[in-house]
Amino acid sequence: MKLTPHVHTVFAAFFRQMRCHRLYTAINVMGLALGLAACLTFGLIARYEFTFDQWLHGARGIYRLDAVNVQDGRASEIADAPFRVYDALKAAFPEITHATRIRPDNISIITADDVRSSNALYVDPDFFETLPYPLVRGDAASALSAPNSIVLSEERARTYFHTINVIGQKLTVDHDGRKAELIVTGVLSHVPGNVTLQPDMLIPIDSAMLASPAFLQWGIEGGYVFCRLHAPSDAKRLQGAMVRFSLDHVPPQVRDAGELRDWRLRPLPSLHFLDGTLGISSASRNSVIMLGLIGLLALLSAIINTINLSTARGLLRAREVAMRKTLGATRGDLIIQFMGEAILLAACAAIPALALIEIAIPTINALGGWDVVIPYDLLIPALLVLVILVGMVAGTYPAFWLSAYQPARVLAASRMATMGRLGAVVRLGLVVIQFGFAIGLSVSSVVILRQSVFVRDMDRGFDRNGLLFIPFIDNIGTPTAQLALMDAFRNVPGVTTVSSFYTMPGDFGFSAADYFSPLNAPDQRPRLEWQDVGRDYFRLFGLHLIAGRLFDDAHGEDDQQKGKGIHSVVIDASSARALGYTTPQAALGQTIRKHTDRAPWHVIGVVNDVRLNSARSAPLPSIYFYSSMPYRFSSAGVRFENRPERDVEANLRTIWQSRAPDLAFSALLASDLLSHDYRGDERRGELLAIGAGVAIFIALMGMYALASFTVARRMLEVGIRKTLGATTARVLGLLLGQFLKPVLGAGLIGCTLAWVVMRNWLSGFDARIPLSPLYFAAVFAAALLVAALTVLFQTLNVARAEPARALRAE
Amino acid sequence: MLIELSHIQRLYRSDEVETTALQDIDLQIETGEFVAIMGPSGCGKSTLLNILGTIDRPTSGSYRFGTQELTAMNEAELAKFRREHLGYVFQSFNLIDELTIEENIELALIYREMPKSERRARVAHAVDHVGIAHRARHYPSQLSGGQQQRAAIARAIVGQPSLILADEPTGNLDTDNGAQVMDILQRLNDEGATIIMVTHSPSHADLARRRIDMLDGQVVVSVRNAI
Ligand SMILES: Nc1ncnc2c1ncn2[C@@H]1O[C@H](COP(=O)(O)OP(=O)(O)OP(=O)(O)O)[C@@H](O)[C@H]1O
Ligand SMILES: [Mg+2]
Repeated sequence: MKLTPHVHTVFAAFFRQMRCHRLYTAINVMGLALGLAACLTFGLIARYEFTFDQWLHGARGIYRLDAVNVQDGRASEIADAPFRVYDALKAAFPEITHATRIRPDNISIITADDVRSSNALYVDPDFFETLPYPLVRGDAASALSAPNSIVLSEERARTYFHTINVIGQKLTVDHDGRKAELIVTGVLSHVPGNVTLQPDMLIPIDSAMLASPAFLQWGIEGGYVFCRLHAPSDAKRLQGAMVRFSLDHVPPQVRDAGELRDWRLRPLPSLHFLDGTLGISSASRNSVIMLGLIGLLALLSAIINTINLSTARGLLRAREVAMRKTLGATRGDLIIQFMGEAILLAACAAIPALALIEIAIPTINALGGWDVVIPYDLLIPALLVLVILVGMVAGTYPAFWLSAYQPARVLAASRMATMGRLGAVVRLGLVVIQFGFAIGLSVSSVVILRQSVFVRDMDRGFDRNGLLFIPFIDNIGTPTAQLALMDAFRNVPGVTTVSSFYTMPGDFGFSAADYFSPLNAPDQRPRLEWQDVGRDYFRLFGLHLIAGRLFDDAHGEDDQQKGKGIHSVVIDASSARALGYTTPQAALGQTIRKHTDRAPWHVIGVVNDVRLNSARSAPLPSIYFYSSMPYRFSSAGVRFENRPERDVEANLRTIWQSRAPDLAFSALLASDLLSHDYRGDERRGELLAIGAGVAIFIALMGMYALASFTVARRMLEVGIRKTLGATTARVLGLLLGQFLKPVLGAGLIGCTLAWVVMRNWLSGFDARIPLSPLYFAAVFAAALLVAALTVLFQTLNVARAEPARALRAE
Repeated sequence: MLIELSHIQRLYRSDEVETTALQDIDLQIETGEFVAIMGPSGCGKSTLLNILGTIDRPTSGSYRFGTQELTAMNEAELAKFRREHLGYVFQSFNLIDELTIEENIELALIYREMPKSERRARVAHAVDHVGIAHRARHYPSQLSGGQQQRAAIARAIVGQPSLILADEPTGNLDTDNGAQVMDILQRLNDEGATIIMVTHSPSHADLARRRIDMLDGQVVVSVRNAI
């Protein structure tokens, strides 16, 4: 192959084009840079999501043991396991070389001037053998062997000691209900963001904990159990033996209650998305795949621009090509020429693409809560491969198309060459794909953002503003101490109501449900959400009474903790319906009982429905029980008004600290808790909107450039038509129609696809917006409008031209 | 009087240079005349024809067509004028490549909001008239130069315009084809159309009833041919 002259021609032609056709080159380079950047940015995110935990040495041999419970005939997997299984498991399966229990908890760190709360993992000494997190200080083999040791993350070490040389330092903590002095035995190296377990502190499980019920009873989930197997092939055998293991070890009464019927061994790298499906995290494989697809499609869209533009340019050059062929250039020469030009174009785009990625990654990280680090050693080769690939793809079509052109036909044509019918169809198809994708994405992001706003603003049946929660006030001491604490809270300026309760909004805190039946209709047995509440609970949440009365200390029987007789309950409207009462009034005075035992209750009141849980699941009908004294796991709720939340919180903190100087104070805003219900979707919608913006931008750029070629090509035709009596308006309509027709088609395709996908997505919500045609119409209209505006200037210019000038144009 | 030009001037301004394509043209043309315009290249023949065809505007002067003053009309009115009264034959045919001969011809009727069936009939008649009926479904690039010019004439006459403007209709054609085109134009004139034709061929100019000679943007002589 005589390569040198080719390369020379390619470069020469490329630089001539760059000079002579600045707009064409700029649009091509900009579009490709955006496309490459979008593709690689979303690609990096997809890689980040798909490689969770894989950096950990031997990650494929590490498994989490999930428990499988059966409820109403349906098996449900939970990520936790009772710690009782730990010893039995190790004894039963010698294939397990190492295993550790992991109990996440919140502990208080006491320093000279402050008490701070931190996450901690209680683990077995085998932790590092099972999950080999690297240490920057200390020795993994011995770090967790002494009972009073603690391993800190680099970040925590710096927070408390301002250095990572902390081996042997002492740290005072209040944990597991007692104060202790721990000795730092190791410091964890910084770990990448894509880990399922991000330990801040590791503390060995000590003998006091081992004696607690969570470690002894089969019925109580203690936390996670991880194990390392001899070989990954053992996992299959182990999994097969798990039902037998359950039969052999789990007590019958636990099994009979539907619990621990089976177990699942889940490989560590699969946990990220698994937890998403188990409802523990918001990870979703589909949305990651969607992001990856958006990246690919953005690149495709940019490639389409290059194809369309170089074909259009090629048409203007058709005579040149034809002349070259007449002068003896072979088809191969021309193919090399066009591909070479396209590859050079893509190479020019690579540098701005890199800059765009550098800007995009931190932004996207902040938006999506990721911690993606740009891996240059991977990115640069990937970029190079993409450049070649993109160049080849973008160059192939025009190269083959134009080189196949017969010189005689081109030269014989009265004027500029056209692409013929097939070429026009292909070009139209490409534009349809571009806009279809952009419109589909836009509609989807609009729908997702609307839905997240809907969830944010929806009426949950209670007033979320001015509502603060102080979780787990039982840590502070006896019920009397808790009551005293709440009394003190009541005196804070701005505070109007304080009450204790157990279930916080947004799936945070504790919840329990049970089956209840009316005494006289045992066949009705709805599952009702069990809500233990303190005094003033209804006032705290701002519920309103529909029928009957609320709990009242004047009625002794209202208090579950007082007297032996039949106690009172308040139910909500949907519970009343579920129990079979036709009206709320009909429920009053009725006696109901728990499905499993005899103890009856009288219904004294009916309140409005409240949605504490996610908008994704059906609202839970609730039943309220009043106890005047708080007990274990109680939290306090504080309603305030006319005061900034910061002031109220500071006052509450002061009160807390005067009563429990060793316990970290924490307060949660109801609106923050509820934000978990829509933040994820909001972010997803915003990411989609970014993708849509990029897609639209690329498509419009392509359309703009294409318009300038097409319009130039149709100048003569415009002159002819006007000579024949066409008005400016008609010509404008004709030209605009040519550009908008593909957008119209694209709108139909994009909207249809988005409709199918969004209907499916919305069906995952119990409370959702209707999939209004308005969203589609609005996006569609907007797309047409921007497309029209994009080409309007050039089109108008041609349409308004004096016919004589237009006829002269060639 | 069909056409009355008085003091028509056309200047082209580009950056520094100012070209006077036409200066002070006075011209009257009666209904049913067949006028040939001659003159050396660059003397302003095409410019004059463009102005007569209202596809170019004079820099100054007045152009009356019948009772209408065309220089006072706006874009839309001029477009309406062109589609109702005018047939235009270009030197370089100016057929649209993407359309068939039939469609090209039909274009002259489309802007008249005429029913499809009538358009069909007229197009069929026009292609017959110029003798290219067998080529009606071909694309322009598939026709010879003479055939393309006849197609362009068919397009100009299909709307039965009262004024036909032809800019060197025989310029690109050989003698035989040229003669055929002249034959068609003469027949149209016999049928009552007013024809103004630019030509470099004295023999073709002799077929017209009147001959106008131009030089440097001015009419120098206007002679009536003896017939
Ligand atoms: N758009 C324009 N801009 C500047 N000058 C122009 C323009 N159109 C025509 N001219 C000039 O006006 C003059 C008359 O041009 P025109 O095309 O009318 O000549 P012509 O008599 O038709 O010549 P030919 O016989 O070669 O067709 C010429 O000098 C030409 O250069
Ligand atoms: Mg001329």
